[in-house]
Amino acid sequence: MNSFEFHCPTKIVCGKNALRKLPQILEESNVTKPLLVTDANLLALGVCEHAIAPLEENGIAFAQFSDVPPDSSLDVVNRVANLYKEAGCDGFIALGGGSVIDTTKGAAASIAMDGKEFEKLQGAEIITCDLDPIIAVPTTAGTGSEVTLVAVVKDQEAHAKLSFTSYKLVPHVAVIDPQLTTSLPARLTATTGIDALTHAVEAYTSVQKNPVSDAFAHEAIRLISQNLIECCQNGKNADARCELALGSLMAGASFSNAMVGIVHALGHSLGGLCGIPHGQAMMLLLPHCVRWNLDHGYHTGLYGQLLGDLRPDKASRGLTPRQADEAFCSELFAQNEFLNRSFGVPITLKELGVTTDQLADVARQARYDGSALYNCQEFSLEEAQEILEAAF
Amino acid sequence: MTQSTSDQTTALPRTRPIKRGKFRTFYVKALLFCLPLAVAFFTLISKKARQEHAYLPAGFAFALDVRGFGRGVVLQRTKRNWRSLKKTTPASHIDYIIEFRDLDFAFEVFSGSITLKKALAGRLFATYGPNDKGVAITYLFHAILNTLFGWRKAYRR
Repeated sequence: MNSFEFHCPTKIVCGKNALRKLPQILEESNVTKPLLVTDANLLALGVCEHAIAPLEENGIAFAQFSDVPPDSSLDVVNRVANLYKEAGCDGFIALGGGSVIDTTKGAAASIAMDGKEFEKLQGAEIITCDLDPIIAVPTTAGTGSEVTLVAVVKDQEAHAKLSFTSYKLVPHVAVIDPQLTTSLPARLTATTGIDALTHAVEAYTSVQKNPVSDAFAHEAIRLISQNLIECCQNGKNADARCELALGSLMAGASFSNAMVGIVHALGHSLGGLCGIPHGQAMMLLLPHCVRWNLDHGYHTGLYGQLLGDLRPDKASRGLTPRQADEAFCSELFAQNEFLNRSFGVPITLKELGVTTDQLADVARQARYDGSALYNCQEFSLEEAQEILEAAF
Repeated sequence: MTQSTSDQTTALPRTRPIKRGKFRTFYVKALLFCLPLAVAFFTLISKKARQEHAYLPAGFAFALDVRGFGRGVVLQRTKRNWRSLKKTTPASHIDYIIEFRDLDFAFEVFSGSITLKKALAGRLFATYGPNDKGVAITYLFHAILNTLFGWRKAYRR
């Protein structure tokens, strides 16, 4: 067995009305005045009320920042950090999608590192100080940021997504409450769900894969594939929403320890240079990257091992490993086509307004993305461009 | 009646950590000494190494350290190649650090018994610094080690 490390210290609080436990969670974390970080949309939709109500009922003072944009930036991270200090807070509640949680991680890291600008902390293991408690409350089932050591923030000037990785960035508590995701539109449910699926698939084929991350990846894929379509068709189904969110969390725990690969390298680059939302990028790239890997003989036999989790009915037919790999890849394409037909989710780069002359720059940035290192095989600029053209 | 614990342990074969040989220490020291020359040489002769050199900005400096072994070596990219900097170069002047977590891990990688990829998988080294530059440095080392140890079992798989 290869050497490995697995680290997931986050306390998980999961289930219907889990947010009612928020006052107790704060008490256990020694937080007396939290900063609630969220976005304007969630505030307008009343989703934040699920967190605010138990705080007010228990007389817990809190400050609020509700201006995190969908693609957060270094500027927003610094604004959150400044508000935290001015309001005298001693912990964070990050209520939102990946952007909100990653912004909160950034602000907490910046404060812990003596107010250093977050930009200067980019890279691996630069953050060495313990962060004030972060209670992550995801409102999408996708990024898994509530249990990961990663924060991704956009550098507006460089048109690049900066990634920060440190064990110190793992949130202390993750609260999974299905009530928060019931209002999520089908299209967003689909793209974020496929983002989570991509985390699990890439963690399972990464160079840092290990038996523990593999177990999380298998279960994550099973939970996501069993509940994603139901959540898109019947968003109010709380059980399905809860299981999908748990699948996303488990995929997050898996990739936080095994890392991701070429799909994320290309996706980060598409996000930075072309403004493609992360989940959307993952959705349209995943089948093409799996196809490319199989065509080059990478991960042979591994994808097929996931077929039983993705489509149990197709896996029980006594397929050879090669046939199972091919079936897994075909299922990913078929799933995208179904989501495109049923919910109008774009599945080509062209539909998203990307032009062919942008592809070379995207390929170049992707080759030097941190995720590229964890792909089993180094890829060239030409190979990255080949995949992008296939997804065009 | 059950046997006492001490009886049981005396019956078992004893294991103890293998003492680190002086050879390993000497090998890693010698390698760190020669590394600036090796990197400069490969940048001249290898297209792949030149490609990664070209990606990094002039003045970019990185350190290769081994935990418990002090500062290893500091290299700075010049316009045409690489040059060695003093080991006492302040940390603020170093853009990227690769730190092996133990001398044995550095020995395994630099003797070709395991690949750099395998070392990455086992987290045998930690890195500090901007990701894209780290990726370029890793590609550079991969090209060098692959050329040097392509004949070894780990690289032939």
